[in-house]
This record gives sequence, structure tokens and C-alpha cells, in this order.
Amino acid sequence: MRLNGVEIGSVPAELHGMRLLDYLRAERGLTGAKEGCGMGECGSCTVVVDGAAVTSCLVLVGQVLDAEIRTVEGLADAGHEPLQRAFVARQAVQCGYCIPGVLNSCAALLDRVPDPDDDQIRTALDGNLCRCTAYNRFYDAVHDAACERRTDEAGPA
Amino acid sequence: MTAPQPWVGRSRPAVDAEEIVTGAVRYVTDLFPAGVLHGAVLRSPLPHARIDRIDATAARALPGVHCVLLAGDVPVNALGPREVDGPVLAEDRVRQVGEAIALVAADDEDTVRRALAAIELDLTPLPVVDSPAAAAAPDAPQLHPTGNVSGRIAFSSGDVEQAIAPAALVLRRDVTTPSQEHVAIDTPGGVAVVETDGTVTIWCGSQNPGLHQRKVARALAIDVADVRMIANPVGGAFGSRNDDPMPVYLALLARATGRPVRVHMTREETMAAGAKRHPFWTSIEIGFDREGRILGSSVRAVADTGPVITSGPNVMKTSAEMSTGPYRFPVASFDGTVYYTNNANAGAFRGYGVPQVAFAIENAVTEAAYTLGLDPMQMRIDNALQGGEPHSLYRHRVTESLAVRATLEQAAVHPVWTERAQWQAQAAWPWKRGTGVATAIKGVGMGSGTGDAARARLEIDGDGTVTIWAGPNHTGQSIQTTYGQVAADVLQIPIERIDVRIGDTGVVPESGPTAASRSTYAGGNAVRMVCEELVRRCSELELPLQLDPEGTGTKLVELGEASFEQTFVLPDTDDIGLVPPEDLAKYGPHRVYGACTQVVRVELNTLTGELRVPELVCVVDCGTAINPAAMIGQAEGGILQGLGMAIMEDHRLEGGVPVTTSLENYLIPTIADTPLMHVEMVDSTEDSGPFGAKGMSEVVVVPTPPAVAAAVMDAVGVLPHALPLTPERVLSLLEEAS
Amino acid sequence: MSTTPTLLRPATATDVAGMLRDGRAICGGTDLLVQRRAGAPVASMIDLTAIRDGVPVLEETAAGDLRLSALHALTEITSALGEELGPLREAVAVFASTTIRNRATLGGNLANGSPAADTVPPLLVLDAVIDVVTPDGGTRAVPLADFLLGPGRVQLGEQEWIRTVTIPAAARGGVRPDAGFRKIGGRAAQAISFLSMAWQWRTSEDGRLTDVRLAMGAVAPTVVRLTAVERLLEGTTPGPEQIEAAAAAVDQDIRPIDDLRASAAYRRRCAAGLVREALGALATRPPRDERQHPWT
Repeated sequence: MRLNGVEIGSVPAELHGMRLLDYLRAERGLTGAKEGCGMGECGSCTVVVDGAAVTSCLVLVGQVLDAEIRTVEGLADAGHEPLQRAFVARQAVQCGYCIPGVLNSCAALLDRVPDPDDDQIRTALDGNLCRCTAYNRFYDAVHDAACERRTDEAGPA
Repeated sequence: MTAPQPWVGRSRPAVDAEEIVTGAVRYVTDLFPAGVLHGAVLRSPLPHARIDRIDATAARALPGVHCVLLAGDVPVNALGPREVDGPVLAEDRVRQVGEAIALVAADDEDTVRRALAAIELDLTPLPVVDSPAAAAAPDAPQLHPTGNVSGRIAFSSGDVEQAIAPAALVLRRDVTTPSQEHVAIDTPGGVAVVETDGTVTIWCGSQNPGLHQRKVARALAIDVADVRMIANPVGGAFGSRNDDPMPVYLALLARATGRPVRVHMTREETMAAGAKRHPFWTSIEIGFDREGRILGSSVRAVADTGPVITSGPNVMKTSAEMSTGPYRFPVASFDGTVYYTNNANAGAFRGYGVPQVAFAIENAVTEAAYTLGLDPMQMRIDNALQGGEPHSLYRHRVTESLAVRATLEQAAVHPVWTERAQWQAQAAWPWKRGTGVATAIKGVGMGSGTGDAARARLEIDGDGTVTIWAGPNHTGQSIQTTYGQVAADVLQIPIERIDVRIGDTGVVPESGPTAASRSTYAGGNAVRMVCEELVRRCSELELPLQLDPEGTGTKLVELGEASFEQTFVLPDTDDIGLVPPEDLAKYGPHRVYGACTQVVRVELNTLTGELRVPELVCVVDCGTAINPAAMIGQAEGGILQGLGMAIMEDHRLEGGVPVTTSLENYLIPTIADTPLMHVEMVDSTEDSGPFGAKGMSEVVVVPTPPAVAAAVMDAVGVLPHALPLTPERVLSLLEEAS
Repeated sequence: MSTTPTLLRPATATDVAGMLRDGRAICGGTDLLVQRRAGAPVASMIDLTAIRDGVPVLEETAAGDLRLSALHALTEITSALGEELGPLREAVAVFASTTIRNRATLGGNLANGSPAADTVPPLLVLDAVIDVVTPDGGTRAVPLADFLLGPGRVQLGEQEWIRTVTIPAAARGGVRPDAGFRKIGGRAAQAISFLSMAWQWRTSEDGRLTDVRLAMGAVAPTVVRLTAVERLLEGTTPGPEQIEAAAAAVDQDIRPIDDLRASAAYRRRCAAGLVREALGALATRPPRDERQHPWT
């Protein structure tokens, strides 16, 4: 297992049946992923496993022993600082409780589709509930991040 | 608008956003102090039952269990001073599914769950009071010694029957609005610790840390001064953290075990036990003249507050005031009763009784416009209450800044409204389209006569850093960012020198609840005042605060004058109208109101009943927007909660037992349900507000449901009277129409 | 139930049957773990993702059948399908949410036996055959219609598991057929269907419908083919009379109940509405390239 770019040695067998969410929060001290429902409905536990956004409350540790896992704490190292900054600048964050999950869904999207349109963003976020913001600023932030990453890749003029 | 300022009026990103997007922020439910125990609550599976026996012996004996607390273990088993406030833990009866019966703390979550299961509980079911009608029945079981009526408020400004006798149109209509669940993504919970000096510190979300401090002190029979509430960071509230007993549970467990204890409720638990929006049954009798002017209105309302009082009568009090909507007419009456039942406990929820009655009056105005052949926008403009005019029920004077008319006029020129006919004509089978408008006002603050106040404390140090402790607390709207902007413009020092702290009763002076749309107005004013004090003192002492904050600070510290505190008392209305002075707090007429008009587009599938809202306009009267993007964020979030109430949210029970139990069957809007929103402001200034600001975070919830209903009527000619508008309800309406 | 369950990982496919004596098969976990949270007694789980690599996501047999992995995530299945199997792709597009689609599998959706399972109506329309691995390691092929027994009940023994789902060549391509999927739920995403419909037919040069297939979910103890409607429409050009007759004929094949999500009466009316909508769209539809999802 690679967690935020770091090799995790072996995971003891007695933890294999543990939810990935609990493993991250309790065993690894990564409290970015939240438990909002425990049944895959709210998305606040969303992390990225092998490039796909998944609800970690429904993933068991033993199922991802060989996987590449990224959490919100590893977003900057994964090249998603522009996304994080865009969420701040666009004031897309209110209480923030859904945001780690939202960021992970957006990051997974951007890694597959560097310049997503609104439909693709909407689909990528259709499992992330937010009660504070009404989601509208998320689109702007993702577009900003996509633009900045494109610009970074293009390099100086 | 006030004169341009460096910070007020700018969209400053939230000061706490960076730690949120990196995952660094630790919410109160992310705290795991060393040695922390896990706690949980044993809850009633039945809506109404006698507790014949509780035996915790086996549970206490389990290895790893540190305590099991029953009602008898709570020093003062009361959540408030009155019997109807309910106990901390059920003693001889349970009165709702989810009522707390016992508290357990153990080494780990598994042990906690086994301990809960090991508590022996013998319950004898009692007849269930499953509705206000059942509560009012003569042979109904009485849920309190004082009976099943939790509160009643009635007022009349004259003879409505007489006033509407000459009406061209009288409508007598009944509407129902659902019980709504807050669904803050962060469920209740936190940590409590008993410090070495015997004081208790509790990290738990709260919209009223001072009130929670008092609740904890009462239950533990200790001094308020020995209780410290640290109420953030927390993931949303919307009213749910106003009445939450969690701080009391945490404190009891910490005290009983001598260890830090952590509790985090599950979503299912929250949905069963947490407070809800009061479901209402509202009747209106309202008369209009031929030109659509309202001649008089009489509203009766019934609300279900569940088994304990929580905010029942206060909500109905707000409903009373807002039963006349944003309209000016000569005579009105209101009669509202709140009942106890064995359904879910109902409490504060953004809007606080206004959405429910607004649905009644807005629906009536919509229908009247349709029947009388009048433009629904113009009819509202013609009836709109103006700033400085007397309120239609209490005849008290409303603020000069009330700009209902301006919100309507601005909405009226938006293409979503002006192009509604063309948009409608482009509907493609089997969809039909309609556009609807609704408007609302809501008072800011707790109301006249309530002594509503907020405080702020300021200290400047030798580095020229200004620290401000202010309330109300933040629950996600980053009110501290707003307070910082106010402070920066009063002090005229760089905003980076200002550090705003909130939500900790240890350091923040009592400032009342994060409620009643008052945080910016009340808290912002207190911040303004305390900053003005500093400025004034510096001026008196001829200290150059702006040019040399470090030197100024050093000097003030030397003089022992580096500390300031101010209280802002929210002003009452200048003219209390018909309200007897001794009853002012009972009716709580407001001075300041925010307003909101919304125009909503709706598409209905005539074959399936599906309803979607692709786009809407929201025009807000909030005075000055200190942080415009934050205001828009509040507006959009509030609109979506209103939309949820309109089309999909419904906490349902059968025989007092919840049948919506999780986020799988209680639905809130996803991103796929969210319309394109155009949020605008009108130009207005509230003189009594900080830099002209007032409050808007609740009024934005109110117009959405009636605007959706109006749009449905525009689409298919039938006006819905019951929410939410599920596909099934819509299909029934369509069949009614054809 | 909260005690950490045991998760067993089979090394090869042949290990699975024996392990299933002591535990429940889990793949995406999006149903099983939710059920476990609600109190279902699941102490031990057998992780079929461990043997996933041995199953191709998608393969075409010599006979031209399409064989889909029951163990891979729905998003992987639809990525591999390209333009094939329209009704299934459309169903997956509105299945729960992205985060669930990235984990949920055909195997899980089938084994769960819910009449509201969204992949089942398209699979039924496509005459899917379920490839069940028997305890001795062999395979038995079960037509989906026989596999579905009732609410939460399927023809799957305790030590059996689903390896693949086969779509017969006859149900596939050729001239790209008209096909679609529609679900009615309480909101636009992440919703359990009140009812759902999958359909597929071909339109001949003279506008007649042939090879008409319709299936509906959440309106009967299992997902059902609307055989009466199919018979009525086969070979006809659907004008207003045929559409009304078809809408009326839906009642013959459905037995909806009242439940938490919707009433039987609504389901009946809406079922007729869905048939009218799918057929009515034929008359009013713009050319194929401009056609958008029926939702828009």
C-alpha cells in the first residue's frame, strides 16, 4: 500500500477487516476523511484509491493492500495545490466538513480529465453532499485549478 | 450603500479556509486526546413507554467499561429550569424514539456497543400521541403535567371578518410543510475533559455556548464559571446545535470517569434523536380587493414540537410575526398552538417558523393573482411593506431600510422573469415549464423587549497585534472573517494585525446565539463598538494607532489600558404599535428585517411527476454586504435548503416511529439537483447595523418553496398546498389539473 | 454490528467456494457493508476483488457473445464497453454516484436481488445469462429471468458466486438499436429508484418496431420484462393508439407495492408514463446526433 506517496509496510491481518476510513483516522492520524453517514451516501469520507474516488467507509483495508491511496493531506504533493488554493480564493469553503471529500473527487477528475466541463464536474461530485454552499463555487474552483495546471505545464511564455 | 471602505464590501476569503483545504483543521469530532474514552448513548426504541426496569449491572461489569450513567446518576436531571425542558436521561418514561436513557463510556467503541447491548431495559409501551390532532384529542395521554399544549400565541389587530367582508376574493386555504432534518454533515459530538482544577472543558459544536455552559452547570450542579465550552471548529449547524444536549452528556461522562471522553453520534442516531424543523399545519383566510390589495388576513397554525418544549413557542412567536408576510394591510390576526407529541423533538432550524407560514400567505397571493388576472410580481409590489411603515399584525414600526419593494423590482427586470413566456413556450414534451415568484422578510435578532445583546473584548499588545474575542460563534460561515473586516475598517490598521477569536466561553464574552440572522448585525456591531473605543482612547491619549501600532500598543500596555470591552444592545423598534409594553418580549416584534425575493423556474414531467429547478434568481436586501461572496455563499446554501424542503425533504414517522432513518431515505439536494443561481443584492443601508449591514442568512430559505409552488401553478394551473413536492404528489396534482 | 469483521482473501478462484462456507462474498461492498451496518449478521467476508485479475473486464466469445466481469467496478465495465450495450451504459450513468460506481459491481448488484437494482432491467432486456461458479469449481449458466426469485432472493447457493455475465450475440449490435434507461427517484443523483425502465428495439426502414424489449424495476417482486407490451408493439408502427394500448398493457406485467419510497398507485401511473415517454419520443425525437439524454 502506498499512502500519500509513502510505502506502508505490511498491514497486520487483524486490521484487514477494518474500514479504510477508520484505518486512516485512527491508525494513521489522518483525520481529513470524515464520517458523515458511514454508508457511502454523503461522500465526506471520499479518498482516491488507484486514481478513483471512493467512499472509504465502504472500503476494507484488506482490499487495498496493494493500492495507491491519496487523502486530502496528500493533495499538495500530488500536484493539487492549485485546486486547494482555488477553493480558498473562490470562497467555495464554508464549514469545510465536506471539503476533503470534495477535493478528492475533484482531484481524481482532474487527473483523468485535465480540462473538465461542468457536466463532468457535476458527475464527479454527484456523491459528495454539501449542506452549506450549494456547490456552485466548486465549478469555478475546478476550472481555475484546471487553468492553472494547464498554464504550469505550458511553462513561461 | 455606505462609502467605500478598504475591507467592508470586499470578498475576503475565509481566514480558516487554508487549514480546511489541507485537512489540517481538527473539528471537535476529530479530537482524540491521550487516554480518551469512547462514549455513547442508549436510546429508546419506542415512541412512548413506561420504563419498568433498567439494570446496568451486567454492562458495568464488562471489562473496559468505565461507567454507565442512568437518570439517578445525574446530579440535576434536567436540561432546563422547567419540567417541559425534559430530563437529561429518561427516568420513568420515554417519550420519543431516540430519547436518551443511559450514557456509557468504555475503552473502545466495540466495548461501548457491547455495554449498550448489555443494559437490561424493560419497557411497557404506552399509547402513542402521533400528531397534534392526537395530542388535542380529549382522551389523549398527557405528555406533561401541564398537558399537551406547549404554547399558544394569539394576537389580533382588529376585526378581520369585517375587513374582508367587501373583498372581491376571499381565499380559505390549508397548507402543510414537512418536518425537516438539518443534515449538517458533521453529526453531534465532541470531547470533554475534567481539568486538574475540577473545571470541565467541553469541545462540542454549539450555537449558544453560553446557554450550553448553563445547561452543563445545572446538570452537574457546578458553577457556570467552572464550565468552559469551546464550540468550534464544527461542520455546519443550521439550528441543530442550538438545542443539542451533547455537551451535557460529554461533561457527565468526563466527570464520572475522570478521563477525557469522546462521543460522536452516528447519522442514524442523529436522524432519530436530533431536533427537526417543526412541521406545521397552517390555515389562512385572506381577502383581496379587485386590484389585488390585501384587505385583511387571519392565520391559524398548529405545530408539532415533539415531547419536550425546546424552541416550540419561540418558533411560533416568530411565525406569528411573519404570518403577514412582507405585506402591508390594515387588519390581521394570528392564532398558533404548539403541541407535544411522541414524534421527533423539533427545534431551531434556519428560518425558525417563517418558511411554514410564508408558504401559506405566498400561496394565497399567488392564487389570488392568478384568479384576479393580475401580474403576481406587480401584485406583490403593490402590497409590499415599506421601510418605516407599521407592521400589519402588531402595527409596530419596521426599519427604514426595509427594501422588499426594491427586491421585487430588481427581480422583475431579470431575464428569468421577463423572458418567462418564451422560456415556457420552449418546453419540450413531456415537460412543462413555469416560472414563479415569492418574497419574504425576516426579523434580525431576538426581537424587541428581549434584551438581546452581543459583546466583544479587545486587547492590543506591544507588537501592535489586536486580538478581539467576539460572538456569536461561527458554525461554518466564518463569521470571524467578517468581524475582522469590520475591525480593520474601524481601526484602519492592516488586517493581518487583527486576530479574531470566537466560540470559547473561557475568553469570549456572552454574546447570545448564532441564530435569528444576528451574527453580523449583533456581533459585528459589538466588534465595531469595541474598536471605536480603542480608537477613541488612542485619540484622547494622542497615540498614533495607525502609524505606529507597536508603539501605541506598548504605551497602552504600560498604562494598563490595553483592554476594552463593549456591549451592543440590539435596539428595539421605535414604536411598539399595539403590543402591550409588558408583553413586548412575548411577541418580540423586530426593528430590523432582511428581505428576499426569488424567481424560480420549474420543469415538470407530465408523465412521471418529476420536478426539477434548472435556474433561479434571488434578490437580497441585507443592507451592506460586508463580505459579498460570503453573503452569496450563505444565500445559495439557504436557497438549496429551501429547495430541499420544497421538493424532497420529509422526516416521516408512523405511529411515532421514524421511517426515514438514514441518508439513503432522507434525501437532500445533490450537486445534480442544484439550479443555476443568480444572487443579487439591492442597494440599502441599515443605519443601526455595522457599516449598514443587517442579516439575511435565514430569509433566503423562505421564498424558495412558495416560488416553486407558484411556478408549478404557472406550468400546469394547479397550486400545490403540501410539501414536499415529490414526483408522486406532482403526478396527483397533474391528474387533478386535467 | 461494529466488531471488526474478518476479511479473507482467496488466492485463486478455486479457493472461493470453500471459503464461502464461513463468510459472505464481498466485492465493491456498497450493498453488503451497508446491510452489515444496519444489523445484518456478517462476521466474515470473502474478498472477491482478490481474484479479479483472473477475469477479463470484457471479452467477446467466438459466438459473438459479450462476457462482462461480475467482479470489476461498474466504471471499468462501461469504459470497456465503448458504444455497446446502450441500456446498460445508460443505467450505470445514473447508478447511485461516481464514488459508488467506482466500487459497485454487476455481481453485487445481481446477488443482492433487489427489485430496484438499476443494472438489472438493462441486463434483462439484453437477455443476460449469469455465469455462476458452483462449489465444485464448474459453471452453470442461469438466464437472468430464472436467476431472480423475489425481493432479496436469487438463484445462488451459499457456496456459489457470480464470475461473469454473458450478453448473447442476438441482443447486441448489428445496426445500432434504439435503447435507453430511465429511472425515477427522489432526486437527480444518488437515489434508489422508485421505478426504472430499460428498453431496446430496432426500427425498420418503414418505421416498424422489431425485436422489442422492455424491462421494469421496482414494480414487482423481481425486475420483470414487460412481455404484454412487447407483444403489442412487435412489428407495429407506434401511433397514438398503439402508445395508449402499450401504456395500458404495462399493468399486466407489474405488481407494485406501497413502500417507503412510493405508492403502488403512483408506480402504476408512472410505469404507464415511462412507456408513453419512450414511445412518444419516437414521434418527437430530433435526429440521432442531436439527441441528448432524456433527462435534459
